[in-house]
Formats: sequence, structure tokens, C-alpha cells
Amino acid sequence: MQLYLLLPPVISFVLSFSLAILVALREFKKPAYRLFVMFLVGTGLWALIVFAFRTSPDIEHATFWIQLLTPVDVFTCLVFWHFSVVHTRLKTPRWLPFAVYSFFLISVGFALADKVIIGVTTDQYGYLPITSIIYKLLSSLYYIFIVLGMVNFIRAYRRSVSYEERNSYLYFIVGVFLSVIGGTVDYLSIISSNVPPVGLVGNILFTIFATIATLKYRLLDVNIVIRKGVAYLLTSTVIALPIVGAIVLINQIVGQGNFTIWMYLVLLLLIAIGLQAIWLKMQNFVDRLFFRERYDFLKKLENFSREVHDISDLNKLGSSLVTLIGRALQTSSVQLFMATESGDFTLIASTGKDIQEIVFQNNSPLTRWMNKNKEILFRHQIDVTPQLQSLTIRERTDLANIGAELFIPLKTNKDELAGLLIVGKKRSEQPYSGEDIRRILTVSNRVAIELENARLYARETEMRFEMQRQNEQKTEFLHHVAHELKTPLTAIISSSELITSEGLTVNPEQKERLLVNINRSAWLMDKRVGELLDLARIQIGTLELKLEPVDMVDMVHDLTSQLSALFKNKEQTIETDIPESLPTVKADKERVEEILINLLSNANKFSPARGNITIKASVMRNMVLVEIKDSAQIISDEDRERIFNAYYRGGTEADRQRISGLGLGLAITKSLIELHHGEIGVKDNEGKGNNFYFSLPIWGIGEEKQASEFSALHREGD
Amino acid sequence: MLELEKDTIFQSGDSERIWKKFCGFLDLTVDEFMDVQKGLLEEQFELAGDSPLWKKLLNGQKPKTVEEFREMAPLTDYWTHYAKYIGDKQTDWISFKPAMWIRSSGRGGKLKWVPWTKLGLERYGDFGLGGMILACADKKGDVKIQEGFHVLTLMAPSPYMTGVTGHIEESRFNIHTVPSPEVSDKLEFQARMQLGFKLALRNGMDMVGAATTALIKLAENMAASSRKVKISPSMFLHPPMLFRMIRAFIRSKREKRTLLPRDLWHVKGITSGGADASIYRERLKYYWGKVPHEMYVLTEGGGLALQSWTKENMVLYPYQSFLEFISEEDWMKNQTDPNYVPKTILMNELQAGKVYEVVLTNFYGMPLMRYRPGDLIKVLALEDKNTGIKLPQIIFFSRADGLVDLYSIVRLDERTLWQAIDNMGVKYEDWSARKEYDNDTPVLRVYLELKETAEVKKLESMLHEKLREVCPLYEEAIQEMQTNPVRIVLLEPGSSQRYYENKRSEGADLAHLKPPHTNASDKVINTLLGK
Repeated sequence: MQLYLLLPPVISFVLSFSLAILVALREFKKPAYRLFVMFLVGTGLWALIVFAFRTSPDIEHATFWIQLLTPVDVFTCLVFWHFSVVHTRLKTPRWLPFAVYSFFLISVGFALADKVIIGVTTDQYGYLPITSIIYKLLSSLYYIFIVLGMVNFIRAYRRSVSYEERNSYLYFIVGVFLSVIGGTVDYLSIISSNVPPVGLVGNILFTIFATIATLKYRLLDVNIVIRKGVAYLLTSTVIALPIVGAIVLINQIVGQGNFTIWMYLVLLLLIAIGLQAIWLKMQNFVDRLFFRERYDFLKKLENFSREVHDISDLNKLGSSLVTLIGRALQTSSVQLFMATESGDFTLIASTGKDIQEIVFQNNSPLTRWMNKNKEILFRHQIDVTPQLQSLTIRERTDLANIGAELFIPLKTNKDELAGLLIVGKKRSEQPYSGEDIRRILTVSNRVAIELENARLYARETEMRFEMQRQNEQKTEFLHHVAHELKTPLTAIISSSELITSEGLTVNPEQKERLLVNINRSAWLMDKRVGELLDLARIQIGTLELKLEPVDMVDMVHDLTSQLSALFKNKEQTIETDIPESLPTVKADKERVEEILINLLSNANKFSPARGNITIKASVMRNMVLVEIKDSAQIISDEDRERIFNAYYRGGTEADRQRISGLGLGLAITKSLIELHHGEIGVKDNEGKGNNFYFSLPIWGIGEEKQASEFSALHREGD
Repeated sequence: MLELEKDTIFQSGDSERIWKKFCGFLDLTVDEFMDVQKGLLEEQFELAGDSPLWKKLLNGQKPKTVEEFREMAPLTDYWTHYAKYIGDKQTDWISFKPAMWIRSSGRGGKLKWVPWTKLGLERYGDFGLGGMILACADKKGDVKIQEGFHVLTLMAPSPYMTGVTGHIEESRFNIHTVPSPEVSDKLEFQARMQLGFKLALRNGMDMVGAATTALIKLAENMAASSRKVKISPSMFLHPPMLFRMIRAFIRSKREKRTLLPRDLWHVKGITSGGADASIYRERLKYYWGKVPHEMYVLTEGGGLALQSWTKENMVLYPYQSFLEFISEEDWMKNQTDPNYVPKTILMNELQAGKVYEVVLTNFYGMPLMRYRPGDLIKVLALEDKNTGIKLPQIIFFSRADGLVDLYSIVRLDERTLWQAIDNMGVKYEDWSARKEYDNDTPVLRVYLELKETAEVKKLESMLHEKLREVCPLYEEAIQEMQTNPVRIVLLEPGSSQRYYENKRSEGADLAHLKPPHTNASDKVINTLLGK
């Protein structure tokens, strides 16, 4: 008996039983695993019987063994089908497995009645069974149930959303396919004496594939396994041809038998050295042939990597990245979101859908999860990950609108999350394979640092621009200070010159007017210098507050009556809406007066004649909220952002010409409010003007906390 | 008919994903739990913040952050803050069209109606399914439940929460309640129980959901009447039923005992609720073959907590309501001075060994904010090292108005009293306890209906001893007072049944058919005494 006929059953037997023990030790409690162990035992018995049949001393023994084979075959196939049902969690009626196992009992009956194998004969490959029509019927069961098992795995493959699970099902499908080929070879060997009975090789491969798929979760992509296998087979064949040719040729020249083993070895060595270059070329050619897509992708990536080194524009870089991924993966959409200063993720570049308005906020469960885990997230994981169950309806809608399928974190070299790459579905509607994921990761890992650099560069540029702008503002401010001081100074000088000049007669009335003028100008200069000093004190942290309980009700009433003349001049009305029960605030009385005067005089200055100004106060949490609503021109969004910056003077050029000031009032006001642990801002007064609001802490609430915060602030200042 | 989105993950049958989705919250850390809670509450500001009811309660303001919300929102209760706006199922004050109005009747017997959004119901369905999975699980990740599962349900029908649960699980997960929710809704409790039992005998069942006492009663009745069980000719029309009966009969005979439910059915899990679940744990295992799994559910807030697969302490559920807690000290201060506004803390501030009152705010657009359902929980530990669960381990301690105060030293809760009464070893029908005064001396009066005869004095000293055993604080109080405060009044046989009949004729729901076990009103006691 030839070795190639005896070796497969021995290998299959040893392998099947070893794997059965391995699986049983691993997880025997689960029904699917138990069935799989039974299946492996079945294939082991199958191999054992084949071995016993082939090595039988006579036809009588061979007949005994081959009679056993049919029920074992049928049992193994039925168990495999049952396993496929349980493993893939497909729904079947509870009675169906029992009905299916009845085929096994039928096959046993027929086997015992000698109705399956009529007899045994011999051919060139050893014993050959003579089969009945019943054998053909029963062996068709082999096909039916093995194929039904495969169908189950195909159904599960289609239904599954998990890449790992789909890959595992593919292993089964490939295994079954190989087993069916093996079975067909065996079947053909029975009906035709020209075919050797080597079908067990199919079974061996089948058991290996199925066991790997059952025991391991993360498997090598089956497509890669097949492609690589075929590629190496082809390469080896092509390389083997010249070797075999050389040996045949030399044999013919030197003569068979004169060629010793060491000569073969030397020849092989020489050929190996000589063919190395060809081997590499061949390998490259086969790789290109079988991994065209990957090859092209790597080429594109290489080009892309070269290009991005020269790109410092974040938007351009992002755009190149999403285009590359979109093309490489044939996806419906790719979006690149990058982290902003606030930690939110905003859209930088996209292909496919237009989703400009979507922002992933820094406190969103999705960004929190990505920040923490920094690994690829699949869309289907979102529905089951406990931390992501709190995604809001809006966020879920956004994700659906984006058509997001994959979320890829872009990490900096400090392992911080710099950006998010969101990839939509593939155009083919197929799920992403392991190969696709590897490609995305290759790109994202390479490009993340470039993107972060570009972002930092953009930020640096912006900061440089901001500094330049501030510098210009300061220069402008110096001009302005000089002008603001020069004007009253000129008035003082000219007035005093008039008083003191000889030869010029000034009557007492004129003198009085000139002195008033000098006095007013000096006061104005004092005010401007005072503002500058205040700002300097705040900036270096030496401004001290005298905190005490301050009654805002009285203060507002006093101030409005003091300033009533100012409003009367412009025929403006001033209304107050201050509840008598308003609690006292913890504040520096003089500073709060300063704040109110500043805001009220601004309201007076910027509101038109006959305009309306309202002061409202209310309690908001632990604070008193004061609102000053004017009827001035609504401050633009751009000005609103910068109006509290020092030296900034908003409005038009005409406004700036018309209204004097250093542009420090609101900056000082803001700093004073912040020193009180309050907040200040401006918003639209329902389209009628502006609403300047500020808050101050209520006296007696959170005393200790506020005190400690306050002293901490001052220590910092010291 | 309630129409909810089918859950595709449950349909997929993928155990790993099913566990992760429905029971994965058990893997959250305290910080992650809080992140989830805060995220959902901030969404609630958007969903409910503009509703007239929220505007009314928040004086027209809309909070932006959790901190702001906790500072500006008042603590609320149903009758003061909600009854006039939603008590008659009005929709003018809420910002959504309710998918369902769910009803609850409190101790006073007054009906509370709570509107539920579709999303709220779906999330409650997820909680319920999680509970079922955990009830059937023997270890982490063990998912025995699948579509087509049959659950024998012996609870109040829709529109009570328990009945609505059946509708949701059927609609969302294709889990069949036996009898079906539609049929259940139309039947009286007895008829429902009989039909459920019959259907479970005929078609089998995978799990059972009922009040613990109902399960015990059913098992005891079965054991008592097992000798009378006969194979009737009608059983031959239903071979599975016949087979089940024969198999159960053989099993019970083989073990030389009476017929028990576990002989008839191999239930995979039992879900139950109530303070008695832990007391009857072993007895239920004996009768039904499984220990019960407890869930803490409220009509006003849905699923708040549930036990893990160990069926021991409960773990708070993050996805249904925003949870705040009032410490026992603050709660007591508020009990004595109703004007005192107690402070609340969050889950990450809970301390082991302390008792807290629960305060909840609905998610998913539903209306209740900082609502006090009047329940007390006790935190036993801050995590469970055995299971690796990093969330606080709690038990339902008592109704806030259900503690019996003795000498201001010890407050006996229903569970403790029940345990002590059960430990006496006498067969009893039901009981009710409250503090009363005998000549200005406070006593613990227990109204007890026995199934056997016993001497009152002996019972009083027995209960006293058992209370000393189960409650260290009681022991402390006794040491101080040097007296036995237990006074037992034996009720006439049938008193509990009479109360039950009275209540049923008044239309009370299942949860309130029995007399309250603690602090019952004079009216209840008089009914029990037949006055």
C-alpha cells in the first residue's frame, strides 16, 4: 500500500482526536463546543475506519470496516450541520435536530442489513467498495448536510456586523468547500478506478480551518490566507520548473545513477544563488498580481507621505488625507475632525456628505470614549458599548446623517487624541475587511503627527497674527493716549498762557472761564491717568478690594439719580427693575459704583437721543445678576468678542472720532467683576439694543469657598 | 397595542453583544456612571426644558449644567407639584405626546398618572430585558434568553407598570408573556393566574415573574394539593401537558416529597420584587429551583436598580433617571421640619453602610424633576470585589413612611420585621406592625394572622428575641430601655382575605391589595380587626 494513501488517514485521525481534546478542555460546557467535539470525534473515527479498511489483511476484514464507514460519515455530517445551527445562533424549530438525527439511525439500519456496501473488490489503489443505490442516497446526505451547514455559515456571515465574526465564518466556509472537494474525489475514486482516494486531505484541511475558527476570535483575514497560499504555490511552481529541468537535463547528460546526492546539493545551492534575483522579481510580480489593490494603495501612500512633508496648511493636508482614504477604500464619505482649543472636534475636510455644522463636543460620550480608548470604533459597537449609551438623540441623528461606519482616532506622539477620522460605508456596501482596517491604520498613524503639526502651525500663525494685531493696537493706543493727554494739556497751556501773558487784558469773567477750562482739563487728565494706573494694578495683581455687604437696591437708585442730568441732556429715559428683596452682595462698594457708572455712561453715550435705558437686577443661583439694557446700535459679533479687551475701541471710525476714551473702561470693568468672582458679558437686547450684564456673589453664600478662592487669587498676584 | 422599535441586537442572538448592551452597565466605573448620568440629564434640559411644566417649576429658567439644575430646581412630589398638571392625563403642560400613560396607586389609594415617552418606554424595556437576562444568568456573560421566550407573569396588568412591562417586552423583544398582555389586561387576578398556570402547563415556560408571596403561595398550594392531582382525560388532548405531569409526578415520588413547581418546569430565572424577596430566597429556590432576581422599579422613574447575576445586592441603573440621594440625617431633619430643604448628593458621593432617600429626574423628555418617590435605599458596599462590579451595592431599605420608630433609637423597616416574624417559625397568613402607645408607653404592635394556634405571650417573647437577633439597633434599644416593646394582636382567621376582598372591590391594584406591613392607618387596622 502506497504511503500517500496511508498517511492522510493517520494524520486525520491524530489531528481530529488531538483537536477534539483541545476543544473539550477549552470549553466543553457550551453546547456549540460540545457539538464541535463530537464532529471532530466523527472525523477521527472516519479516518480510523479508512485506515483500518485500507490496511485490512483480507476482503472480509475490509468489508467489515467499510460497512461501519457510512453511518459514521452520516453522523459526522449531521453533527456538523447541527453545530452550524447552534454556533451561528440561527433559529430552527426545536424538533428539527431530532428529526435530522433520525437519518443516522436509518443509515445504521441499512448498514447492519448490508444494504449499503454490497461487497469489496480491489484495484490499483487497494480495496474498493462495491456500493448499492442506497449508498448513493446516503452519501448524498453527506453533501446535503455539509452544504446546508455551509449555507448556515453564509447566512450568518451576511447577517453579522462584526468583522471578526464574519472572518471566522469565512474560515468555516472555506473549510467546508475543501471538504466537499475531498468528498467528491473520494466518491469519484469509487466510481472510477482512475481517481486515487485522497479525499481525506480535504477533511484534514477542513478540521484545521474549523478548529481555528472555533477556538480563535481574532483570525488572520481568510482572504489573505488564501491569496498568500495560492501566491506561494505559484511562485514555488515557477521557481521549481528550472530546478527540475536542470536535474532532468544533467541526469540525461551525465547518465542516471552517476549523479550522487552531494552533486544534487551543490547543484541546488548554485541554482538557488543564481535564481535569487529571479525569485525576488517573481515574488514581486505575484504580489502585484494578487495584491494589486494593496500594492496600489502602498504606492499612493508613499506619494502621499512624500507630499505631506511639504504641506503646512491644515485644510490642504486634511483634504489630501480624506481624498486618499476615500479612493483607497472606495468609501461613500470620509470626514476629518480636528480638536480645537476648547477640546471640541470640528470638521476640517470631508468627501461625500456636506456636514459643516456638525461638531463633536469635548464632553460628548463619543469623544470621551475615543479620548480614553484611542482605538478604532465600529458603528455597530456604539449600540452596545455601555459608555456610549448616553449619546443624545441629536448625536445619534448626526452619526446617522454622516453615515459613519468607522471612527479612527488620530493620536499625537504624546498619545493624545488630535483628531477623528470618520469613514462612511464602502460603496460596494460590503463591510470593512481586516485589510481595509490595516490600511486605514497605516494612513492614520502616519498622518496624525503631520496633522497635529499642521494644526499647531496654524495655531502659531494665528497667535502670531494676534500678537501683531495687539502690537498694532498698542501703538495705536500710544498715539491715542498722547492725543488724549495732549488735548487737555493744550487747553491747560493755552488757557494759562492767556491768563499770564503780558499785554493781554483778560477780564475777570474771561479769567474765570479760562480757570474752569484748566481745571476741567486737569481732571480729565487725572481720570485718564487713573484708568491707566488701575489697569496696571489689575495686570500686576496689586489692586485690592474692600469686600463688604453692599445693598445694590440703594446703590442703583442713588446712581440713577446722580446721573439723571446726563440722561436728561439726551432726553433719554431710565427705568429700574430692582426687587426690594434683592439680597446684599459681597463687593467693594466703590468699585461696584465705578462699574455701574462706566456701564451707565456707556449706555448714555451710545444710545440715541430719546433712547431708553433699563437697569434690572435679579437672583441667579448664588449671584445677583445686574442687566443694563440700552437702545444703542447692536454690537457686532466680532466686537462682542473683543469689546472687553484692553485698548479695544469698537464701532466705526466715526464713532471712535466722536467719542473720546482710551478703550480701557470695559477692560477694567471686566477685571473688577472677575476679581469679585462674578461674570460679565454682553448680548443682544431682543433686537432693540445691547444688554450688558454682570453678576456678583450674594453675601453669606459659600463664604468660606469664596474667601479661600479670593485669597488664593491674591497670593498668586503677590 | 404598543408599537416600539424592534431591538436588532437582541434579534441577532449574539450573546456577547446582547450582554454588553443590556448588562454592560455593570462594567462601568463610578466616574463613567456619572458621565452617562450627566450626559443624559443635559439632554433632558433640551427635551423637557421648554415644556410649560418645567418652566413653571424652574421659574422660567432653563438650566445648562447639572450643577445649575441642582441649584435652581426644587425637590418635588407628585401631589404638590404634578397632580394638577398631569394628574388627569392633561397634555398641555408637557412637551410631548405620551406614548403611554402609566398608573400607580399609592398607599392612600389615590391614582397617580405618569406620561411616558416612547424613548423612555424603550429604555425601560432594555432595563427589563437586562433584568431577565440577569435573572437567568449563572455567571457573567451568560445569556440564556432569546426571542420567543415564555414568561409566566403573575402581576398587575396594564396600565400598571408591571403590566406595561409585558407589552414592552413583547413589542420590542418578542418575548411572550403568559398569558399574553392583551388577554391579561382583561382578566381578574385569579382568572389570570389560573389561565397562566394552565398555559404554562400546556406549553411550558422559561421563566416566571411575580411577587414573591404569590410564588410562595402558588407553590404551597401545589404542595398541599399534590396528592389530589389526577390525570384527567382532557390531558390526553394535550400530550405535552400530560408528559409534563407524569415527569413531575415521577420526580416528586423519586425524591419522596410532594409535587413542587420545579418538578413541572425548569425555569431559567425568577424575577420578583418587594422587601420579602431576600427573606424567601431559600424557600423559593426549594420550590422553584431558582433564587429570585430583584429589580427596583417605579412607575414614576422606571428601572432604578437591579441585582447582578449573583442575585445578591442591587446595582443602580444609569440610563433611566438621574439619581440624587438625601442622607438619612437630612431626611430625618426634613421629616421633623418640612420647611427644611434637604441637600442632595450624587451617586459618586454615597457612603457604605448609610441609608439614603432616593430623588430622581426623568430622562428622555419625561416630566418629573428632582422627584421624591419616598423610598429609602441602603448602601451596603461601594463595590463588589467578588464580581468585579465597581458600582455601589444597594438594597431597597424601606418606604420613607414605612419605618417603625421605637424610642427614637431604632427604626424598624419592613424587611427586618418580616425576617424576625419569619424566623419565629410559626405559620402565618399575613401581618402588619406599627408603633402604638399603651398608657403613654410606646409599643410595637404587631397584628398577626396565624394559620395555626399559638399563645400570644409566647409569641411576643419569641418575636422580641428574634428581633434582637436580626437587628443590632433593636438590641441596643432594649438594653437601654430594659423592656419588651412587642405586643401581638392575633387576627381572626380570614382577616387578611377580607381586607384583600375589600380592596379588590375598591379597584386597587395588585401591589396594594394586601394590608401595608408597616405603619398602617387606623382604617386598615380596623378592617383587619373586622370593625
